[in-house]
Order: sequence, then C-alpha cells, then structure tokens
Amino acid sequence: MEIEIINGRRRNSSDNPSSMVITEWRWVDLVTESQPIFDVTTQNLQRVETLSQGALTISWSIVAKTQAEQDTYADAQAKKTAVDTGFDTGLGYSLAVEDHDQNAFSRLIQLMTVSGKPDAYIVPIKDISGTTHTITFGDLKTVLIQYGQYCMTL
Amino acid sequence: MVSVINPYRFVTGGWDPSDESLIAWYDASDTGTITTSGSEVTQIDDKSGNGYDLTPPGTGPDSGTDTINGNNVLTFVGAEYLKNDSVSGFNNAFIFAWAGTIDSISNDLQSLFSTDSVNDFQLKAENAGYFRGRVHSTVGHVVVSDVDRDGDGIWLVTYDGTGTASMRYNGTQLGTASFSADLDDVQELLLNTNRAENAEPNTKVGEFIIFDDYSTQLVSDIEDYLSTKWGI
Repeated sequence: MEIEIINGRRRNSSDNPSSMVITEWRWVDLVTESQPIFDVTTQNLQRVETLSQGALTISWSIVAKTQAEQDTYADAQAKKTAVDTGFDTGLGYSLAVEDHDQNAFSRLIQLMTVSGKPDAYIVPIKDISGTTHTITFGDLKTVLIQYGQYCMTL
Repeated sequence: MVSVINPYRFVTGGWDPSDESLIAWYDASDTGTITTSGSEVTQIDDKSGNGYDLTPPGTGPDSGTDTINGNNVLTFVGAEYLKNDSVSGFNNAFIFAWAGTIDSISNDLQSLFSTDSVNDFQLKAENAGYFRGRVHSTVGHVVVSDVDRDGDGIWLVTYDGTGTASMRYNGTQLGTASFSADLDDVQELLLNTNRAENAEPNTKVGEFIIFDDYSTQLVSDIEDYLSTKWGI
C-alpha cells in the first residue's frame, strides 16, 4: 500500500493541494508492523510513525501505565460492570443504577410518599431490561433503601 | 515552491472512504483483507493503513457463507466478536459507520460495536428482544424511541468534537445527546460485542468504518456510499 506525503507528513483529508504551498509531495510505501501483545490493565501501547525516504513505517511501543492510570482504569471497569449488571432486588430482576435511573426511582418514591399512598398500594416499575413488574409500595421502600445504599458504593 | 492540483481526486470517480481521514476501515466485501481458517475469520485487515487489524479473542465469525447485495459479509453467531487492543484517535470528532444485518437479539447489552477504556461507549440493543439502539457512554447517552430496528441497517454514531453526539439509522437521525467530555484517545476497539465483551448479537457485518472527522457532508457521503454498496 502506498500513501501520500505532503510537506513531510501524511496527507489528511483537510489538505487542499490546490491552495497549499507545497514543498514536498511524494508517494511512499506504508509498512505496518503487527501490534505486540500487551496487558491493557497495566500497560499502554503507543503508535509510532517513522518517515524515511521510501516508506512510512508504523511500529508500536509498550509503555507501563502509572499506578494512577491503573487505578483509574480498574475503577472504570468496575463501575461499568456494575452499571451493566444493575442492582439485584432479590425478586428475580435487577434495577438499572445509572444516575438518571437513580433520579427516576427517587422521584417515584417521593411522589408515592407525598401522595400518601398506603403500603399495600401496587406500583409498576421497570427492570434493567425494560420489563415492567409490580410491587407493593411497602416492598418498594424496602428495596429502594437497599438500592440507594448499593448505588452509594458505585 | 511547487504548486500543483491533486490529480488523484479527479480520476477516482465517486466518493470512497479512502478520500477521508480514517481511524480504521474493515470491509468484508474485500476478501483479500480477510484471513480465515476454513470459514472462520482469524483476522480482518484495517484498510485505513493505520494497522488496526481485528482478531477474535475466541471463536471468530464466518466469512464466505453469506452475502448482502452480492457482497461477502462476516456472519457472527453466538459469542463471536473481533477486537483490537489499542486504537487511537477517539478524543476529537469521529464517525462510526456500520452496515449489515441484525439477525437476533437476546440481551439488552448486545452491541454492534464498542470501545473500552475509561471514557468510552457502546452501541447497544437496549431491549432484550430486539435492537432498539442506544449510545451508552461513560460521558453521555443517546436514548431513542423503543422501536424494533432488527434487519438490514446502516448505523452511524457521530461526535462533533464540541460536545454533541448523535445516533443515525438508515439515513435518519434518531437522537442526539451532550457528551460531558471527549472520549479517551486510545481505546480497545470491539466489533459485535459490548465493552465488557460478554454480550454479542447475531449479525451479518458488511462494512465497519471509523472516521477521524465529522461534518454533515461527510455523514451524507458515508450513508450514500454504504447504501449504494450494500443495497440498504
């Protein structure tokens, strides 16, 4: 595969040769080295482009993540797993735990409370998959207390 | 000083992804870019020239068993997906474009494609029975109407580089959302699975392209190109 080099760098789509001052324009071979295997939890892979007279070579360099980068990555993975899994109600379904989900449940419980619904009142709620279930207001309060405590750990 | 008009643009005819700045480009119709063992794909080359080839961590999809509009496709069944561990270029404007067929969905997390780092995203089903579509990111969400969108489709996820993301389906914008930050520059790139790599839809994938740019003209060019080529 060949690529265009303009003014010492790879051409990109925003270049308009008809209105550019061009000091260099040539075609070179593109040589791409295979990516090495690395551990994404502790390492990053840096892409290196080296332009010689006849070729642009893409190579790779493995660089260790700092401890802070490792911690940030691990925390992010844990949170995404928790978001994907949701909160297990113990009733055979799970509740979504993202911020807007938490706000929706908070609004629901406030509405039920302010409107003075009895504990036996039947409330429809949607699980993480969008399936609707019914639950008594009394049971919902119990579930949402556990739900709130769980969400505070995310 | 040398002043020239680029002759290449005047002889190539119609628009082609290689006319643009690409992050990665996978084209199942170009069977010369696909390596197989039997019919199982062991690698599909990145046609962008950036070297971001995709390989299967487990079982790969099949190639040479199905077509769309006469073109070869990758057939993903069960827990099959493709991956590259380190792709850069996502921390500014981008467009992800996917053309193919969604055959079936059995889990709301099943995703056509995703990236994985800290600030990342997935285009997931959002319904356990069919593909509704949701851009699910750590920096924002594009939520759209709950409609069955299984079947042939051209799906685009765009980010304009200034905070607005959108989801498009068969030439129509389904929704937009604000992203609170850019995505991370370097990500794992995943085709046919979610970020956690545990939810894969049954699909046929014709072409998957990621552009390092965003404009309404580019969106139009991409959709015209994919629609014509794949008959969608």
